Amino acid sequence: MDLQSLFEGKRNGEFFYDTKGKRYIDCYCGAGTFNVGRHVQELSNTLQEQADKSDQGNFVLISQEKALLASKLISFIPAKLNGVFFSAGRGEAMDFACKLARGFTGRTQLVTVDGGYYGETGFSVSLSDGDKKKSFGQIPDIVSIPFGNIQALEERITAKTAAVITETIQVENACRSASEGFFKIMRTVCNRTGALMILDETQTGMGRTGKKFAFEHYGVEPDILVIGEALGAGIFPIAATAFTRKIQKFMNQHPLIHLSTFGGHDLGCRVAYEALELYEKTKPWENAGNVGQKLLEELAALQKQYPGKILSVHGRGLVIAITVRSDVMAQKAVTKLVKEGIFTATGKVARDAVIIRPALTISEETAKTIARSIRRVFKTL
Amino acid sequence: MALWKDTLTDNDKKLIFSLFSRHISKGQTKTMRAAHLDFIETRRKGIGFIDGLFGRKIIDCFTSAGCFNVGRGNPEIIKALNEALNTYDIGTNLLQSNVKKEFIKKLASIAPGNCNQVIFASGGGDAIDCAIKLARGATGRKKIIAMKKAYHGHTGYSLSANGKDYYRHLFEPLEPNFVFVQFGDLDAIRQVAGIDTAAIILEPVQGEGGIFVGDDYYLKSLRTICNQFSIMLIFDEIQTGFGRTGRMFASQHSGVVPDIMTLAKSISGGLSPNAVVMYRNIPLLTQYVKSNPEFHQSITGGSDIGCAVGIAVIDYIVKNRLWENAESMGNIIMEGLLSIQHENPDIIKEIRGRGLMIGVEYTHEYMGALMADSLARHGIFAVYSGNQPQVMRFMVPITIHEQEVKKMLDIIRKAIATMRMYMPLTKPLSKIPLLKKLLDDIHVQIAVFDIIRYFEDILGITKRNYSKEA
Repeated sequence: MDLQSLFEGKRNGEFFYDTKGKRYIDCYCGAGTFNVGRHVQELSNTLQEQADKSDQGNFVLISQEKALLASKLISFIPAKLNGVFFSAGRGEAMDFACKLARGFTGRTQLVTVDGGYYGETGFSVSLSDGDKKKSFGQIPDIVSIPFGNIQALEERITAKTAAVITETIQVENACRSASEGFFKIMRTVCNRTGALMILDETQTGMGRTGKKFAFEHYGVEPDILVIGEALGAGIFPIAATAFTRKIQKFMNQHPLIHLSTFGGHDLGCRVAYEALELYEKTKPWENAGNVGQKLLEELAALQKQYPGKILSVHGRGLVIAITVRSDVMAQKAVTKLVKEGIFTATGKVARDAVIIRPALTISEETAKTIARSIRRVFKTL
Repeated sequence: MALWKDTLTDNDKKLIFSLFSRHISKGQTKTMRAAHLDFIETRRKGIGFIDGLFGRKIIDCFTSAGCFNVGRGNPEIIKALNEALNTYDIGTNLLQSNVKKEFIKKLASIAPGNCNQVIFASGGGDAIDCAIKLARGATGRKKIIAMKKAYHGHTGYSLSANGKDYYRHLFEPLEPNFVFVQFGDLDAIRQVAGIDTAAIILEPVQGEGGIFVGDDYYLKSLRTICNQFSIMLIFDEIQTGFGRTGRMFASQHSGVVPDIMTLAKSISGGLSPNAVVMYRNIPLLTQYVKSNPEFHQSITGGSDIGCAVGIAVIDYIVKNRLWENAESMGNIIMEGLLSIQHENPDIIKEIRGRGLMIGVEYTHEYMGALMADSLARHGIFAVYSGNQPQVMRFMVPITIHEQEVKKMLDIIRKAIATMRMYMPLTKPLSKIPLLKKLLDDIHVQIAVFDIIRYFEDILGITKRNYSKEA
């Protein structure tokens, strides 16, 4: 089935419906945007109520919406971060993180890891794996080290390094992750050299992996944290970059040096504020951890059953990658899954992987349906 | 505090300021406070908003740099948003939807010439990054010619195309394949443009740069140069688009059709962020996009809610022919400002603009901040250009009526009178070279104004001034 002919109609919770009324379990979730489900009624209501009297506001002005969301987000993040800048999307939030690191440290070098994907804007493209930077232009002074390689951390992060940038789990790269030791040593080397540690939790944050943020699994805290579209819960485009009090000095000394028209949108801040309340109330990370573990086990068993088709299954919480024999086979699996009523996508970096990332609120029943459908697809593939 | 109130008590305000300072930027709070721009927008309606701080009506002449072309709190746009929210969320970027399709059609229906193909982006900066990628990807060339004083955004590639040092220098090195020339200088372009050039990127009317209008001859000549070397001509219409300059798009004054055009800001109706890159229906571009469908993916750009709002925005502009209002109201403001200039030649050096995108250039750099302050006291929110501090931008919603225009001009006159009170102090000082440099320094201005504001607050002068106006 050609995706171009799949028209999205109604949406609700774990599901969306095409315009002909066929139901799909959303296992793509806007690349990890719909963490608390599709068309969240409370948030949709909030936006409707607010739009009657408020709007975007002037981005340079102080507003209660910006101030209150910033304060709420800081208390939500389980790390000693204090400053926030809001953006409209992932790339923008990451580009700002890089600029902040350069501005604050006065250093220029950025260390990235192989296999990552950070977005489509200039810095993000330059940090990401793949050929895009060759065609579109590379921001200078970026070096790449192998993800998970501790020795490379020690060698390449130096007193010249402004920041090291990585995801906690490379979702678009078959959910490849690194050892706890890798992140701990990264933290140590950063402390020693004065380089900043930037973690992109766009796809792993806001509960996806069984904790609020995946860095909690590794016992480290970043200096700069990129939070993606899950902040707006699929009702409003908003992302954020959070950073330590120390780094805030840079923003205080250089007011309005980095701007975003849509970033601190007053309506967006309002929606995100209510979304955070919802996250806190429902703690969807707990369900993600439990249901995710069961789904992972079922898929791992499936891998043992079809070792010739499925090469590996990786993941944490409700982001799981099924790596198959080839890119073509992964695409076929995605197409067949759509017919089964499961909407999913292949990885952007590892195209031989099918990524399963449903709403964190899914029931065990739905998780079983997902596993059953995948089993059926691989039987005939 | 009880959250989200329309009327703010002193404690509410204190809390908002302190939370903003603590978590977003103390520097920004100071800057805004110093210039009397510490408004807190509560109710937003028509051409302005209520400042929750003193309960005053403020005319919005900044409009988030051109986001509110259809006016603030426009009921027709709100209705579209509300209806969309009954069914939609932001939707899935990999899938189609009826509302996306309809929005694409709507955009095509107002497109200049064959610049009618659409790619979505999440905001202005993202759209510029996409446009640059498209030009480079399709041509296989790297070099991009951009303008000095240009402003295109803050993301990686858009910042690389920015022509202002303040936004760039602490973040360099940026993407290096950009060459900068003076806006309006055709010879400079001819010297650097060639078969190695991917694109020429410019705003048809420079906004942040200080409101410089690209004249028809200039834009037509750029088109010719681009045709000669197969260079992509990129118009950044993020601020000029959707009726602002007296045409739906600023390019339509000259009839020049750009190869690529970026739109954002007002397409969101001030309600739901969205941005688009439009490109010409020519094989070079369409084939590139077709064979590289993932060259620029946006999760939130082209969101179903954003598209529903965008349709309503375009319908509203077309139905009310708002560009015509922008042109006629722009003419009245322009005339009014010219006569104000005539009365105050020592303060106003030049008035420039097109439609309702108007810039007032003062005779000295330090006057930008002073005027922002004086205007704020009298009920206009306007800011000076980031790239050109002696130029103040007036970009009021293009729904403005004649009576509101008169009021606006009235306030500007009063503000100039207020500013004159500072002049006996600043004018002699500005004749001393070192002191002039100090006066022009934005950090010095903030520090000085912040001290003045501190004493005003203590003495209660601010409040007295405000209540008199209200």
